[in-house]
Amino acid sequence: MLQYTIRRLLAILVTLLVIATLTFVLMHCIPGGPFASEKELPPPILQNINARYHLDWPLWKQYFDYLAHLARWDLGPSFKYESMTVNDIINNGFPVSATLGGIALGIAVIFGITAGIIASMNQYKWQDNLVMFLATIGFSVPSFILASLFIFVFSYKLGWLPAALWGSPQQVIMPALALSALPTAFIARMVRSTMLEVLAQDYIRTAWAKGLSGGLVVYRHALKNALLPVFSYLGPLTAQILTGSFVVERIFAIPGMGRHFVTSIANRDYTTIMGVTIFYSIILLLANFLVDIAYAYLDPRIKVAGGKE
Amino acid sequence: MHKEEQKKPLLEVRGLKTSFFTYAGEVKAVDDVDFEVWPGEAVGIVGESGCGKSVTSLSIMRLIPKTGRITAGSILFNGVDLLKLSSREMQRIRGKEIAMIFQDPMTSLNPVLTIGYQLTESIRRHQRVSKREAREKAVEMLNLVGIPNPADRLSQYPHEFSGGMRQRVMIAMALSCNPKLLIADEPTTALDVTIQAQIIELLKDLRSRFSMSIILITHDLGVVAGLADRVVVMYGGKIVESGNIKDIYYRAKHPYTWGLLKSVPRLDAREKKRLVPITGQPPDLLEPPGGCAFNPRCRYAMRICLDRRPGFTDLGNGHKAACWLLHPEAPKRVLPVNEEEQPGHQGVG
Repeated sequence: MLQYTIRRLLAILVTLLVIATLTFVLMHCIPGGPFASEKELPPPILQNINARYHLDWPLWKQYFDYLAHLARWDLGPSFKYESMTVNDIINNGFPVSATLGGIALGIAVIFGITAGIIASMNQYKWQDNLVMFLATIGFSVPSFILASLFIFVFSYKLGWLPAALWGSPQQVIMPALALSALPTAFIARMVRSTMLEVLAQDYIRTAWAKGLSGGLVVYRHALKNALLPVFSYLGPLTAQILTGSFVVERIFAIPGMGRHFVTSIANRDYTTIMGVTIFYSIILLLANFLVDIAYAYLDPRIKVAGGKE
Repeated sequence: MHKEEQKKPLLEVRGLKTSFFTYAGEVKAVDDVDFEVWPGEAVGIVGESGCGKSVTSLSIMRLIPKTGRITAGSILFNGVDLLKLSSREMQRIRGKEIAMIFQDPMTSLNPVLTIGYQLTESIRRHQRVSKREAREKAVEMLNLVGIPNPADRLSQYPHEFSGGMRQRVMIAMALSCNPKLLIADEPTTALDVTIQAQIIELLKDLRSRFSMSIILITHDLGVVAGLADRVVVMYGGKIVESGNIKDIYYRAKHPYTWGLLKSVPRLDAREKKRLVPITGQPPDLLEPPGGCAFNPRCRYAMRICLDRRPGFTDLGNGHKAACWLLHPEAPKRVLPVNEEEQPGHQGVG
């Protein structure tokens, strides 16, 4: 197990290096630069700025310089937000995004799994039809429409909830719901189909033949098998949802880090692009790693390579 | 083994009809089946795939898949009609009074639960025992079915067992609550031939030890010969012949039973004989042939076989068969086991 963990962590480091390199190369392939969009700067000033951010160095030197700083988790100063480092951006934005995302993730997992079980237990009955109808809506309505609708109904018309900003628990409700709609729908559909598949298995018939009650058959014998595929979806979902959503955070004016994934590219904010990309990659790789570990515990047929009995 | 005079049957299936409702129409998988199982008796239900033998057993357990329904009949177990019980009452019968083992031991155990859990689960469900007592009972059962080091194997998962060992676990699980009736649905079909023989030996041994009745469902007359006292032959959802094992093997009266007997390899054959397949396909139960369901494949079929379903003819000693050949006016045919086969002589008469 330890051996496996070490091996996986090394693999994660290698993957991160590849991602950093690719991002760096791609970023410099895009025409323009961090200060191209501003009003025409006099050449001496531009030279000074470039010198300050080492943009006058050859690319390979910039690259290795960046890696050296990255190794110390020094992501460098932001080109756009003066007096802010990329570390600051992540440190300020991530806790907000992660709180919101964590709540949305919880909603998606709890409601998605419950709805999926109910639907599968009542296949083709009204409960199933209702769940599938809601899931289709959750799937097909984009989050910005859902968010706008929530604001219109619950803030503008009913006045129950604050329309935007961050800080109080009431301000979490609408963005969390808007953010969780898609994953909830996805999980519900997934659980429904895997449950239906599992409920048709021979070992479920064995469980019935033992005289177990319906509850025991579902929770003891079916659920664990049915949730395994859901787990593998949780890795990417966690990374995506914890690092924030550009759209939802924009609409509710939430100071998370979601917007930086989009604005940093528009601004050619080189260090921010690199920083948030690498940060996202780390979360994604770690989440997948944790899912794999959990998998080995959940499914006894999977042996972690190098692990011992 | 017959105790008809003093005792009542343990299980009485009367006029059982089970149908599946598909988009194409009603499939009568079991159509008016009557049979009984006496205490301590082993009954083999024999037939091709799709003849309704598995559906019959699942009907007894009331474990028909959702698309199916028992449409008529009664299933009396110790005098109680199982079809009239609530699902909760039925749960108390399943696993405790009537236990079942299935065809494919590779898929019949839950892959994510330990063998120990799966064993103790049914023990604790039906008996008031502590966790420790259930564990001891589980070890005892595994020992009984011939699994070495049972105590160590309780914490293992099904994938750590071979197919034969898994079927032994299934048997241990089924017998852990001392059921009065064990339904074994093709228990050896998925196993190697050598393992098959072991499992049959084991069932034979356990049957006398637990003094239980067995319903053995199989398409293999060889397997039946090793275990059963009585045989019920099914075809197209109906019983075509039933009787004690000797009557079926030596004095079979139904052409379908003859066909089954001739398609089994025999060690005691005096000369080299080819196995003779039953030509054609099992009947389409959506549109069963008129008259006797076997008529399209029967080389002795007469005109009446196409029009009217034959009733049972009592041949004495509990042996009965449903075939027009047994009618007093029908031409006499004898069991063709020793008859020389003539190639090309297989057309419908």
